[in-house]
Amino acid sequence: MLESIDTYLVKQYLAELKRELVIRSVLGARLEHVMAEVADHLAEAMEAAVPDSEEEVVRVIRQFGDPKRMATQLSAAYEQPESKRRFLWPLAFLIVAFVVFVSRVFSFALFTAKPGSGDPNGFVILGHRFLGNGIWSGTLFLFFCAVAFAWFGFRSRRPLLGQFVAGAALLIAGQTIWYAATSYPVGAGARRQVEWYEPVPRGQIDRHIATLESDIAREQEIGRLLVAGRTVYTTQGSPTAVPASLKVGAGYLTPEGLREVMGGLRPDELHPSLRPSSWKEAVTAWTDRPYETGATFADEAIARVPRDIEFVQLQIDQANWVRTQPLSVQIALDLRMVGLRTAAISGMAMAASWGGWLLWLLSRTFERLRRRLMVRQMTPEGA
Amino acid sequence: MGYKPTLEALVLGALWEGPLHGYRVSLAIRTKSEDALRMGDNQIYPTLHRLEAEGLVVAEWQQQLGKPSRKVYSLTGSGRARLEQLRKEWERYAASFIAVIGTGSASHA
Repeated sequence: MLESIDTYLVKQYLAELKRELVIRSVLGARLEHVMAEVADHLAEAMEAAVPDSEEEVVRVIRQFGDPKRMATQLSAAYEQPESKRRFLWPLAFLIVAFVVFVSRVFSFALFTAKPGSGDPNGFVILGHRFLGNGIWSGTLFLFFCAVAFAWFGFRSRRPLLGQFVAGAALLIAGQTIWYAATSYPVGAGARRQVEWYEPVPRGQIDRHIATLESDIAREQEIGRLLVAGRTVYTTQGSPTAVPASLKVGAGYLTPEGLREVMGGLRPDELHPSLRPSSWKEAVTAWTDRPYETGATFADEAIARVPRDIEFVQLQIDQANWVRTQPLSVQIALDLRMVGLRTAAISGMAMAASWGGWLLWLLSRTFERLRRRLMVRQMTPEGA
Repeated sequence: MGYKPTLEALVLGALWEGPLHGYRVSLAIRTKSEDALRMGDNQIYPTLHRLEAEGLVVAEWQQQLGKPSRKVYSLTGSGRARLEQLRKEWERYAASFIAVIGTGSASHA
């Protein structure tokens, strides 16, 4: 009879302990292990005590201790190392992000475009080097980054803010120092209305300016040819009067086609609409007036030339100005160049991590509902 | 001010002589202290699990004939080092305490 009493009371105690552990999120294999350990402990305690009354059994169980307190302490014991991991994971990821950034910066310094690579400024386009398969690789890269950050948000179980602020600050400081040491921040646009900044390596600033000057010379040549084209491509004109520089193979050049060819595009790469084979189409492409201003295609193309020249000239002025500025001014411009975009990218990464955290909140709600159901099932009838 | 890591020291001390399972750890604390150190037996498990997570003890499940498996704990090298450190801290603490309150004979002298 006593055996059945102690078995019953131990089972009751174990059920109570299990309930307390489940309430405190000690679940799965961990829960099973704790239960097995406690069952073993109580079995041995009973064997040692050889209780001869119900009170004796209760005394042995009381000696083991309050189940609620044990569950609270166990939950806290598991929580401690997990909290460390929660902090370390996002930190580790930020370190990886930093390494990727550093390798990107170094690649910029180490690889320069070969002559004739197609990049008019002579610099490699990093996106093309790293994401050779074009926009899909870039999209996939961003997608995987977002998933990774969402995963860390999910794992950390709280909104991550400090890490991203610290990470963004470090990245901005690192980039600013790096760019200040290796390049000039050359603006595009008027000094107070810069549209973007480009880091031009210090050793290549003269080459950069020479490239821009050749761009101006090319633009002037385009202007000269456009003016010549406007005089020959008319309804009164004749195909025989068109000089070779305004033709391509057996066809004619439109104003836009002319600009493309002058920009380095091979004639066979031109879209057919930019190299019509009929004289009538060619004339229409130069003389039509599609704009509200009443200007012809030719007039519009010619009017664009001085604007383009002015824009390039402003870049030259910026390059000449920035190289004469003290380092403090250059650093400030570097900060302006990298600050906003890095903060924006860090913000996007943080948003992804918060997405993961929200996902965790959602999963926790479901988990709580499931647990409540489990607890209800474990509660003895009439209790 | 007090001496905080008491239970940790007691559990590590109980395991000093060799591997034990939970019940034996609590029994060792009770018998070695001649029942002076009594606590709820279940108090040792959160401590054991924390020590396991910190690598100060290792645990393995041992098969038992006709009974469920049993979790047996033993000290790691770090656990032994930690116990040595706790012993020194305890000695320092006890010496400071005695220095203040004095021994029975000293207070009569």
